[in-house]
Amino acid sequence: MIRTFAPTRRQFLKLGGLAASSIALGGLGGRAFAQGSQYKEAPQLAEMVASGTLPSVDERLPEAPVVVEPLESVGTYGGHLRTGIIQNRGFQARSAWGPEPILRISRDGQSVEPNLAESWEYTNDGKTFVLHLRRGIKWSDGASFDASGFDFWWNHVNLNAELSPAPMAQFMVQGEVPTFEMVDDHTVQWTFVAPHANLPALLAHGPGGSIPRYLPRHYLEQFHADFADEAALNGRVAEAGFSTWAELFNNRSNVQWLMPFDNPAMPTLLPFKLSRPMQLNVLVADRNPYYWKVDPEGQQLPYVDDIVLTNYESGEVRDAAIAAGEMNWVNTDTTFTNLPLYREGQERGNYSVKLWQTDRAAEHTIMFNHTVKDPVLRELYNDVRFKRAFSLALDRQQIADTVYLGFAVPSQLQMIPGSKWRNEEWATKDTEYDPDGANALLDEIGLTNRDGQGIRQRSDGRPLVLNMDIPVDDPGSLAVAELIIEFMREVGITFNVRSIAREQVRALIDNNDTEVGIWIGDKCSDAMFPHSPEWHVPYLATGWNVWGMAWAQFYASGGQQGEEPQGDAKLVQELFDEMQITVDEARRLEIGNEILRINAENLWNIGDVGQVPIPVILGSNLRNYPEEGFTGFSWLGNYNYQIEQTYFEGGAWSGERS
Amino acid sequence: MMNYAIRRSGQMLVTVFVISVIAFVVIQLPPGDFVNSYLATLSGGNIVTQDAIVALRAQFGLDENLVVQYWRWLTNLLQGNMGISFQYQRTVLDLLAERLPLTLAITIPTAIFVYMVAIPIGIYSAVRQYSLVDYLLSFAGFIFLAVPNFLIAIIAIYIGYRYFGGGVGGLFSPEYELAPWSIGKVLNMMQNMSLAILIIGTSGVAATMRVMRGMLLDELSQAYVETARAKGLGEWRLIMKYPVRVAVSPVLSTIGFVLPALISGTEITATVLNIPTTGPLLLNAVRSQDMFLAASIIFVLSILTVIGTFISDLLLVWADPRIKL
Repeated sequence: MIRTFAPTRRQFLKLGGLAASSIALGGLGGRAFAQGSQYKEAPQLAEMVASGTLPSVDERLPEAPVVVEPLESVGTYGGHLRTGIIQNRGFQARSAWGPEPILRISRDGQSVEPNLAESWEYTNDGKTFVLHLRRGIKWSDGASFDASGFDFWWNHVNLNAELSPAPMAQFMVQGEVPTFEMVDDHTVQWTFVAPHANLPALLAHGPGGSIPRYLPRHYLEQFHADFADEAALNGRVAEAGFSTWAELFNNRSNVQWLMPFDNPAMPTLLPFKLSRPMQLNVLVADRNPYYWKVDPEGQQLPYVDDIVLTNYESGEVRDAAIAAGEMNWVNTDTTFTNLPLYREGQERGNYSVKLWQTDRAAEHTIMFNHTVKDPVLRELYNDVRFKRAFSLALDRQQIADTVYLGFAVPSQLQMIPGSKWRNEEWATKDTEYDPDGANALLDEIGLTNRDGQGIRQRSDGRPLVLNMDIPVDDPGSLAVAELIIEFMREVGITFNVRSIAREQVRALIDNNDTEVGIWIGDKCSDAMFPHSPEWHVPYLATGWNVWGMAWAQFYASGGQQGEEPQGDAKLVQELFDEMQITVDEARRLEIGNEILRINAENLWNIGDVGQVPIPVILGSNLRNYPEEGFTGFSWLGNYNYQIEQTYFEGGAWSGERS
Repeated sequence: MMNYAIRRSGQMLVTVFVISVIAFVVIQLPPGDFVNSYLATLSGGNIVTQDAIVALRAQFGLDENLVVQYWRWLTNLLQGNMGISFQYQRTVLDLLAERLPLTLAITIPTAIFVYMVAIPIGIYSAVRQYSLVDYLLSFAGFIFLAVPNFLIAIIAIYIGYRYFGGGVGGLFSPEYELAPWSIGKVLNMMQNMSLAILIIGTSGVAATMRVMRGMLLDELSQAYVETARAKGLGEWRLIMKYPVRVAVSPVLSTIGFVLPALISGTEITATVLNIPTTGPLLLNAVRSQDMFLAASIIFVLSILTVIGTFISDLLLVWADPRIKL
């Protein structure tokens, strides 16, 4: 999919580029040089070259720029990509400007490909991970990208206690920080205590996308106490209104959703660079003139001129704005229940609604806290018969029909279809609607005493009440929870739903104060599960996983906090430990299957329905996106489709108002 | 007068101090702190170790007790440093400077709109009590009093979307969003802002109108009105000069509350209309316990409140000579 475009340009340089490029360096002859070039650039950039404010395209591109094969057709320059986020949570905006992680996920989502690094290898019995960086890439300000940035990030940011509360956990194996070495200008390596098998996948995901924030050392050194002159730095800190240099450093290098959000001076490697920070709710990112990828005809990417991002203070208003035709690119945090609204606005709004698949094995996972503080509930929640009864009491077909308009099938939280760990039997285990079976199981456990209203009593004589905390901003969860209240009444259980702010749900979970939790069952993909099995293994000391919080805290703190897990919970943690240091694909498959088998037996997660598509809003004439694609956190949205190669047919969105 | 101003200033300082304490404490009341909500924004793939959580708390200064945190915030504040917003990684001053001008640009015209419309209507419907116009205005007044502003905003957005095609919230229509400043852009902004002012002002107009009408009706039946009338004073001159001046007192004495009510009470409306005032900023800051940001906004609003109350007291004295300082 990505090949290099080298030889002809090298020949060109040999033939006569030497004289031309020395003129161009003086900023005079850029135009003459560009005329003879095999590369083409956007008209706006050509104008800047002509006026002498920008070096020619040949000087801006690496000797061997990455050639991106368009999905359908070679594009034309022009147009504004318009998107909207809700309450400054820009999950979906991530794939609007790239991102450009160190490695990248392939278009089909199945493998890891080169990106900023052109290759990687394991040496020293797998304990050393070597990264070979691509040569000739330039930052958006024209400075060269090389390995010294990694030295800066590792030694002066990641290991600096004032900037990083703790070294990045994704780079630790068995709790140990590796040793870092910059081998030469384009090679870096880390030596771990054991092979870090998940590292390539991590470098193609969140960590690989956020590390480049700290790589432009030529810019960031002026804000860093290790490099800047003390008096000058103190002056800068005071002038900006901060009290420590770390605050200033964090502010200047601030990146949200992988994009420099506040500081247009911050160099970037993304196809777009910030030109107007978020001001009165609007942010604009322009084409990066030094972007290092071209199409097969030698046109420098990206095709689209800029990205206009509007922040909406409420989701409903954002969706109304979609229907009113104010956006041509929204694709991760749309709400399925608003599908009729999106559809209604399609024609007038010059966009089309596509239905893509997600990384959610089940729309929601419902989790009983097995480490809950109430001893009676704890005993109950640890009894698998109770969870089976709960699962059998759910009328999943009704959930699919009433909440998801029939676009769903009953499913447990296993893995998404197409995953190498997908198991149909486990995915549908205990998903049939069987209230009689549920009642029989509950009686078998001993919950036979009922009060006047027919509500079952706990072993201590109090009525059995299940309390679920649910984040107020997910309408899907609320709709499902309301149905669960009815289903539970049928089997004699009172189900309480408390809808509170997302941040507060999180605080309750982190303090192990949640009894029953619910969250979106995402991340169940091959790209994510091996390194982040958030739902299937209790290992995150903070997160949305409710079912084994005290066990997770024990794991994450090395036994300092939480409670020691026993039996199967301990077993899945050990399997996860093994997964992290196992490079062999066959064994990794086995480990994954083992984790999922134990999950299916214990029903730690109870799924509702699966295969619900997500509405994706794309401008009617926006090209080079698939008709049937996938999007979700596993792929940081859908950056694998490469925003830089999408274009508006005719050079502008058909819905653009002028 | 001077004495009074000095005495009031002293009281105002105490009030502001007490408010700042309450603001700071109340924000911390819900379970958890900013670190929890910060972690909530980092989703999976970002493994956070227990050590990192502890270190994060230390970095944000959240591991110290509330008194120490408050004292640090207050002493910084007195030096003009409002601290930084954890959420935005920017100084609070910077964030306020971005949003306060727009907030004032909406609230001050709204206040003017409320009084300009409500007082004349109130006078008219009192003088022409039980006339058709009085019934109509009272009916409309009750409706606008009862319907929350944000609901009116939602209805306005729906009508705008359904019948006028586009223009859903925001300060500018999409075609002007990126355009350089021009007469068209200014007109576009004023158009969007006037809609906001209209919506935010409705309940204020309705309430003020009812108060004005009620007070004036009381006054109109007083003996001094009859006396003045018997002495042959022109009807409108009489009404404007005597009963209205008395009846307007309660309206004036609430100016102090109107200012902060307009700024803080419009959070939801501004959220719905997507206008970047301090309202949505405060709402988000409180939700995520971004405490320096939230406390600073509340602090600024409380200063506005006490200043507003001070102004309303001065106005009262001016309007009603019976009131002694």
